[in-house]
Amino acid sequence: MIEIRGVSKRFPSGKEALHNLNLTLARGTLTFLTGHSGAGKSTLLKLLLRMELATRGTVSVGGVNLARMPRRAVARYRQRIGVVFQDHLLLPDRSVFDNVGMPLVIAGYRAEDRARRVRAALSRVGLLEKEGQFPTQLSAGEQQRVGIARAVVNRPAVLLADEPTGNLDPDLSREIMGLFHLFQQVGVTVLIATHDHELLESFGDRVVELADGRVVADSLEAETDGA
Amino acid sequence: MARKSDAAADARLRLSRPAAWMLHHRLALRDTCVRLIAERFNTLLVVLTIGVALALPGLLYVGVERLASLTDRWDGTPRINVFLLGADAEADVREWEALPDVASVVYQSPEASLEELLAATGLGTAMGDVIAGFDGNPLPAVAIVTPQPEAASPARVRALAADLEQRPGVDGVQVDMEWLQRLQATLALLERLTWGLGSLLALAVVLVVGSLTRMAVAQRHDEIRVLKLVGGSDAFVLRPFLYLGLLLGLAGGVASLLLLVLALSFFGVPVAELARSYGSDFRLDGLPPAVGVFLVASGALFGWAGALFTARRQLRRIEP
Repeated sequence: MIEIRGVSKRFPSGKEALHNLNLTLARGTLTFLTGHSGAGKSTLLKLLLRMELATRGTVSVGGVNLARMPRRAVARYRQRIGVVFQDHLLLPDRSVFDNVGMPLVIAGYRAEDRARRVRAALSRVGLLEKEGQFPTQLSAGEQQRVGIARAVVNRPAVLLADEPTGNLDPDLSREIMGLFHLFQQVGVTVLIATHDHELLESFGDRVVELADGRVVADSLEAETDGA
Repeated sequence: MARKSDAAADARLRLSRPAAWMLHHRLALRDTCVRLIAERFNTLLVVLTIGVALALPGLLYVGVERLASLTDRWDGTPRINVFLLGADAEADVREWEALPDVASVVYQSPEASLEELLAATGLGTAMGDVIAGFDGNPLPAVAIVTPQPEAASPARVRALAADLEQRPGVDGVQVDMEWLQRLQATLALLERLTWGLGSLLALAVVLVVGSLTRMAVAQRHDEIRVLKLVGGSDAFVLRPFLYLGLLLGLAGGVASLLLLVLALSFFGVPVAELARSYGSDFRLDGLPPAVGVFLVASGALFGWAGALFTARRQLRRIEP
C-alpha cells in the first residue's frame, strides 16, 4: 500500500531530515512511527500527504508515485488520505457536524449521504449527541475524536496521525488507540507518529523507530529475523 | 475485489462533476453571505466606498453625455453672421451668392432681427420698453452666410469670413462655429477626464477589494490549511474569496447607482432652470438604463478582479 524506497529529504536550509529511508506498509496494517523530536517522523508524514517532495527516492501510495503527481491531482489524492493532528485543526466557527462533513462536501457527496456518513462517523467516536456543538465547547479528548471522525468519514485507504494522543491523558489515549485499531480491522492502513512509549508497549503493533532520518529499529524485521 | 466494488458504490453516492461544482458554488456563496452579514458595518463601509468611487465618474459621464447630445442636435453646418452698416444692403449681399464658397445668403433686416431677439429672450414688452429707449432700432441688418459643404472646414470658413469682412458696407463678422468647436473640445476633454478618473477609481475599487481580500485570507489562514489538508483544491479554497469580491463589487455598483440617481435628482432641477434661462431644454436628471447596468456590472467585475488577483497569490503561499 505504502512503499518508501531510498527516500532522502533535504530542506533548503541544508538540514537532511530523512536519509535513504526504506519502508513498506501493507494494506490493513497499523504501524507506529517513533523516535525523538527531529528524528524525521513529521517529515515522513508530510511526504505521504504530499506536503513535501522527496529530494531522492520514491514515495508511492496505492501504486502512485507521489513525485509524479501533478499539482491539480494532489487535492483528489488527499481526499483518499485521512489525517489526524495533535492540535486537532478543527474549524472553530463550524459545528462538529460541519467539521466532520467538510471532506464529504469537498468530495461532492449528496446531502443525505453526507448526513448519514457524518452521523455514522460521529457515532463511531461516541460524539453523535454533540453534532450541533462547536469545537470550543468540547474537551481536548472530544476535539481529538472529532478530528478522527473527520479523518475517517471519507472512508480513506490510508490514515495518518501525527501525535494523536499528545495532549490526552492515558485513559483517553487508549480509547483513541482503540478507534485506530477499529479502522485497521476494516482494511485501513494506519500510520501513527508518536513518542509515547507507554502507548507503544501496551499494543502489540509494528513499531518503526527513526533516528536522524534513518530507520534504526523495525519490530517487524526483528520478528522476521527472530523466526 | 471487495475494495473495487466499494469504490464503485462510493462513486455512485457522489454527485456528478457539474452538480458537485454547483454545490461548491452554492456553499461558497452562502458562506460568504453569512460572513458579510455578520460583519455588516464593515461591509457597509466598503460598499459605500465602492459606491462613491463608481458614482463620481458615472455622474461626470452622464453630464458629458447630455451636453454632447445637445451639440449632436446641431446640424453641423457653420454659419457666418455678417453685420451690415446700412439698413438697405440686401441687394449688395445677394451678390455674395455668386462666390464659390458660398451656398446661400439670407438677409435679415433690423426689424426682423428685433423680432427674433424679442422672441428668443421671451422678455416681450420689457425688452420692447428698453429698445424704445433708444433712438430707433439699434440692431443692424445681418446677412447670414452659409458656406458650401465642401468649404465648411474651419480654415476655409475663417478665410471666407475674412474676405467678407473686407467688403464695403460690412461692419463686422461673427463665425458661429467657434463656440461649438470650443464646446466640443471642452466635451472631448471632459470625456477624457471622465475615463481617466473612471480608470483611476476602478483601480481604487480593485485595490480596496484586494486589500480586504488579503485581510480575509490572513484571518482564515488556519482554515485554508485545514481545507487543503482534507482535499480542498485551489479552486475550492479560492471560491469564497471570489464571491467576497464579487458581492462587494456588486453591492458597491448598486450603491453607486442609487447615489447617482440621488445626485442627478439633486442637481437636475437647478441645472434645468439654468439651461432654460439660456433658452435650452437641457436636462440632467434621468439615468440612462445602460449606464446603470454598466455601473453595476463594472462594480461586480472590479470586485471580482480585485479578489482574484490578491487571493490567488496569497493562497498559493499557504501550503498545509
